[in-house]
Amino acid sequence: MCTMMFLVDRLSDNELLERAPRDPEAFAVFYDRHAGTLIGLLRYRTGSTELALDLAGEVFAIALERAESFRAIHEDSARAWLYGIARNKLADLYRTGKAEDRARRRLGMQPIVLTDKALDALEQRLEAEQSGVLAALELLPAHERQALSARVLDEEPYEQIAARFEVSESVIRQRVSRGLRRLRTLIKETP
Amino acid sequence: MTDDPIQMLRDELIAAAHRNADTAPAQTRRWRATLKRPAIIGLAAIAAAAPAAAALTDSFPFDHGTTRDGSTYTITKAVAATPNGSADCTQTEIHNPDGTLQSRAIGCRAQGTAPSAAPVEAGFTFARDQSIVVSGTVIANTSRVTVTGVDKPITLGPATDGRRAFSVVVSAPGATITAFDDAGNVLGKITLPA
Repeated sequence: MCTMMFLVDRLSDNELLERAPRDPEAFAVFYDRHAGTLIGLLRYRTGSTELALDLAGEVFAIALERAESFRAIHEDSARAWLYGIARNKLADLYRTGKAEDRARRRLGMQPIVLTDKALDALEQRLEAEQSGVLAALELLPAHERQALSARVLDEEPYEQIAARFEVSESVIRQRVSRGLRRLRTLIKETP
Repeated sequence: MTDDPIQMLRDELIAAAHRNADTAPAQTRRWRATLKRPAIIGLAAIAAAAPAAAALTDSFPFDHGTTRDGSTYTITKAVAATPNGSADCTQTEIHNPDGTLQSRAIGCRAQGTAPSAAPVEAGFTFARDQSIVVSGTVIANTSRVTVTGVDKPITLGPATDGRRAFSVVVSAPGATITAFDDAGNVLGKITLPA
């Protein structure tokens, strides 16, 4: 039967996260949109696919636990919120030398056991996606590519990027948001 | 069983999300009890018989874009009047590439009446075939839900696990969904706009 659920995958990230505490399907769509990129980024930061997956599990578990308190402030809030959690977990990792699993344990999640074959497949996939993303990034308009690179890859604060390009912070937020949307479309169109 | 680690993680997270959603109402009740708020949550209520344009006020655009098939979507946040104040609503409209309306959906969540403590959500979708799909979730302490004003009125039983999801297709506007608590109090109701 056709229900409101058919609309879920068309909702914005903010909408999905706000619905997540009561709507697992919304959280699933949110995960599908961000898991690949987030794991890729964590792998880039840690140099380990296994660790990246471990960290991503904790990041999404925290996002699920805290989604009730999430409040959208701007169009890009949900993504920024998720990556903020990821940055904190990375900082914890650098400080303690291990990836936390407290949120996953609180949620009763089972550890993901990786076989060598699964790990190889994941590494190949991430590498392919990474090269696809980099190729797609080159197709973006220059101002969006620069804003996106500065914000997502280099994790510069919006304020700092805005000052560097001599535009307002909201303009940079728009460029990042539009760039991400365009990037997503380009990646989807790639066979 | 999948051998894809991203899918495996997804499966674990979604299972946790289901468990989380199942326990959320109890947490909400505890939280509300702590705050000692007098009247609590009821159903998203759009005033009975009021047309959508009149029921939804203070609307502002929230998100819009184009889907891969060329359809455009517009998400609007709005406020609906309720007996106890206001409800936060989200309206989603999808238009075909030629500009004709493909579907419209509204979902609301609102304050309700004491003594019940049940957040209730309801939504309705105008589907492609012009039938109307009513769906929603009645959370916590809901004894029964009725859908009236339709060809075949229905009554759904108690929400034994604290949640009762429902979905029913009706052929015309005017259906009213009413949720009751254990004591027979009306938690709230929502009426489809004509």
